[in-house]
Amino acid sequence: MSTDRHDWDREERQSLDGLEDQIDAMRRRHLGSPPLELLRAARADALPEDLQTSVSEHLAASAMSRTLADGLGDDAPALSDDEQERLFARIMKDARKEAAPASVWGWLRPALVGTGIVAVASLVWIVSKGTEVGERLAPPETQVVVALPPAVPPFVLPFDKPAVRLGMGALTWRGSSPSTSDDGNQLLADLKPGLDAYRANDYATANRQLTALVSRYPGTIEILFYQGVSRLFLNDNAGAIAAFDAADAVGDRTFASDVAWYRAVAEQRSGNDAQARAQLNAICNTHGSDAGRACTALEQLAKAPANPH
Amino acid sequence: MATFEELYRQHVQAVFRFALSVAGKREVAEDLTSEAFLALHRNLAAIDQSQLPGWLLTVVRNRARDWWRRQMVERRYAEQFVAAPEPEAPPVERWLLDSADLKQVHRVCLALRYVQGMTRAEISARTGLTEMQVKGHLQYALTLLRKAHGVQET
Repeated sequence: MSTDRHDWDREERQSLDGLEDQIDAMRRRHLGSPPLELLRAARADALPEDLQTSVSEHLAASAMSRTLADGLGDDAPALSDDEQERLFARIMKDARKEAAPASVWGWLRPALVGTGIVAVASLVWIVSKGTEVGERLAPPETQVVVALPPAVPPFVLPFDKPAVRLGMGALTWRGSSPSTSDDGNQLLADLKPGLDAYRANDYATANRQLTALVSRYPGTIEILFYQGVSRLFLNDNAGAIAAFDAADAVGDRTFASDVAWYRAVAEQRSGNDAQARAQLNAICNTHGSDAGRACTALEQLAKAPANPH
Repeated sequence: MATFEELYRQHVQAVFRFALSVAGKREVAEDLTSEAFLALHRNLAAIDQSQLPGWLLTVVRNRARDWWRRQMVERRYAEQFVAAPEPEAPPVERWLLDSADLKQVHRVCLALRYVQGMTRAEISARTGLTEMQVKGHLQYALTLLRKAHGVQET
């Protein structure tokens, strides 16, 4: 790894002429920072606990490390078509390997079933003869019945992906900004990468892009709402609740019912059934178009056992 | 209900990008992606497909934690890092972090090159961009830097 300006090429030297001391100062300030891989893993909460805590504390305090941790956004590389096919072939090969023992079992099964039938027939014959042999039979083994949780929760609030829509505030935005797009609406231009990723089901990128806009456009309902929904898709329920909380504080009536519904979904997934019901109650008590489904959901929640989440 | 192959095609890019972001290495990201879809294949009948791709990302995140745990043992990662740099950032750093003219990819390339001191080849390996792309992003960013700081064009 290069450590100083000696590996700069001619163009870099020209560009940075007079700024070398600042570059050196900037580099010295971040010498103790975690490496890039750790920053990005911590951002996704994918580190073991101790390391996660340590790197997260650093991230909270360092804007430079947050920039690195946010990654490349839309420019993040993906799999090429060839790589996709190769990976698919590899997965299917592994899946077939896993299934192979089951095939052997399938071959043995008729033989074992046949043996079982003979054994049961013998037992019936012995019992019917009423001989002492029957009394000497070992008692059946105790059957341990394991109570498995139900495969599907009793009632889970439906979670459908909401389509992207923009309120009048965003469509007519004319705020000041250091750079303004050609059509004069910089907010829409800045929203586009995040919402495009959201439309393409790339929720990690959507969340990252939208999160980066929160401080620049505080109180913009579209940012907070689609950030929250993206986090729901990422199973980050606490993050989703925080986003919906902020969205709720904006007080935009056109999104109010959607914010409350998806907040209820996040609360239920977090095990906060009472909070989920409170959100649904708020929708149910309105005369809006979503009131009906919220009231129905409340009834179903009341009938259903506690959510196992 | 979608077939396994349909689900793979629908979600593989998002899962791979996420895996790459948590592992930082392309080959590890492919392993994590493969493990996640293998788990999906195993549980296809029992899974609520509306929970995708979140379910897949959770598998990746859990497998990534295991991977990092092994890395901690092998590489003996220090668990304490400098909490925060000194408060005074030079103007160039403030520009790098705040300039609205820069895209995220420019900030990352600049930071890796001039803060972490990586070569273009190292940046390419870490980000998955080609060296030519890295060079292009740096050139563009340096042009803006010159303008922002009043450095004379030569």
